[in-house]
Amino acid sequence: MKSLARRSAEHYFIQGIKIFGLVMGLQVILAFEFFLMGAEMTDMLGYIVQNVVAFTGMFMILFNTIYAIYGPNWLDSVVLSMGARRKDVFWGQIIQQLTFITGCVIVSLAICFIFDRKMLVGFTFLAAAASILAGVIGTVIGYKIKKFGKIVMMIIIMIMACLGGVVGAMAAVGKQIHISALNNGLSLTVIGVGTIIVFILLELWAYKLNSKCMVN
Amino acid sequence: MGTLSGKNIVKKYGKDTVLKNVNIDIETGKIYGLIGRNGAGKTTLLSILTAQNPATEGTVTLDGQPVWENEEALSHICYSREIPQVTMFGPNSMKVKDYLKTAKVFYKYWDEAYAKELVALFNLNPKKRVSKLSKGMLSSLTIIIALASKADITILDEPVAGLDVVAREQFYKLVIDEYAQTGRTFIISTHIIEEAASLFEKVIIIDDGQIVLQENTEELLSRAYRVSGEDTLVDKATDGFKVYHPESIGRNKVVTVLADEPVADFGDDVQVEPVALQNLFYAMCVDDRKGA
Repeated sequence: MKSLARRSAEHYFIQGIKIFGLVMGLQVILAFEFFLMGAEMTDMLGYIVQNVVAFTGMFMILFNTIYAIYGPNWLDSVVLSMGARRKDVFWGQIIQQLTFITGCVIVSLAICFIFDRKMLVGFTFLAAAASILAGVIGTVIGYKIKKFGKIVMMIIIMIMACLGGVVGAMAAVGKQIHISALNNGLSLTVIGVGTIIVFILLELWAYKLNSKCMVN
Repeated sequence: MGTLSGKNIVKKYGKDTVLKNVNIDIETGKIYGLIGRNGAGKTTLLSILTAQNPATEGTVTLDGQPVWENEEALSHICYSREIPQVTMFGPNSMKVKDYLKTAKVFYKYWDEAYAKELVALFNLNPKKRVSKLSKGMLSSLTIIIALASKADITILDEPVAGLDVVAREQFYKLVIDEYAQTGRTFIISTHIIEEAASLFEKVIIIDDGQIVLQENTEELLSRAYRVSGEDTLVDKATDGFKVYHPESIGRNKVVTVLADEPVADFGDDVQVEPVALQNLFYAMCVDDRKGA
């Protein structure tokens, strides 16, 4: 039989593929909806492509975070209760998240290049970077929820709601927050390197939390 | 396979010390019964022995090798515990087949054919979600995972909770058959002691975070007695013995005695009966100050 590390890696890889499949299923439904909504537009194709890529980016961040939070409290507990080691769970989570993100990025890039919408490539990579960070943040949040309970979720929801409110209010009064670095190659590099550094630091924290975790 | 040993195990949750310097040795090739009151520390002890929970202090080894994060040691152990129907995020939407697929991946010696046989025997629908299973079906799933894991040391934590009497008897028969065929070690934690007592080669009694007793069941019961009669005569006959749970009704008295060795005769003035494991456990663990 294959080693535990290999079996664990394969298991989490398949979980990543399943989440990817779920998101792609949602995208197919959404693409059809955009098709119906954009039926009378002059650039219907552009409308559909832009929205599909945008929603892929959003779903990448959303679903990666959700499944990362699920891990310590539910799915990883199942695996741990069946003889996996904590390091298998730690690396497995990374494999799952990167598999999911890679799948989404490949699909988005394919859409961008097939339909000649190269200006969305930068957005796709930005969303991938955000998703990578959101995943590890989700893992840390998951451990904190395991320790302190749902109150952690409530606090985070409140913070996100306040942030969302601020952004919305600023947009309402004509102010916009520019987070795009599409026009500046150097900024993309900085974002990429910054993402990796923050990712590593947060994964170290997640590793520490994981090393003493217990089965629910 | 040799011995699964826990030495000086302490487990604290905040200020509460749940396990207090527990020493335990599980020899392979036997069926153990682990019994204790609610909150005694059974599940905590089992989860520490199987590296599912870190001990605050102490070590757990299998054949001298630490169990914690050890692939080789973990491959010989299965701890099948209660599956939650509700998670922190809502109902447990995993299906029975998802659990079995995951078990197949992670248990090195998983027997898929045997698992399918057990699913049919317990009449479990693999497509059903865990949140929709009855308590008995949940117990069945726990049992299937434990038995099909084919792990050398298989631990079942209250496996018969929720099972009807027919299913319970089926389970006991399955354990005996599996033990006879493979010589696997089973550790069964249960509150339905009297039914399972005939299965237990060795019994471990845990109370208030400490192992009270850990020995061969037959030998233990051979030196346990229920002595009854007139109170002064009972006191005289049992003088020098360890006496548990004395009960007085008028001038009559009943006590449970656990001697160091089998006693030939307590005298003619008292009545002596053998004690069942459940009654011995009750006598040893009940505390009049705590009540029922």
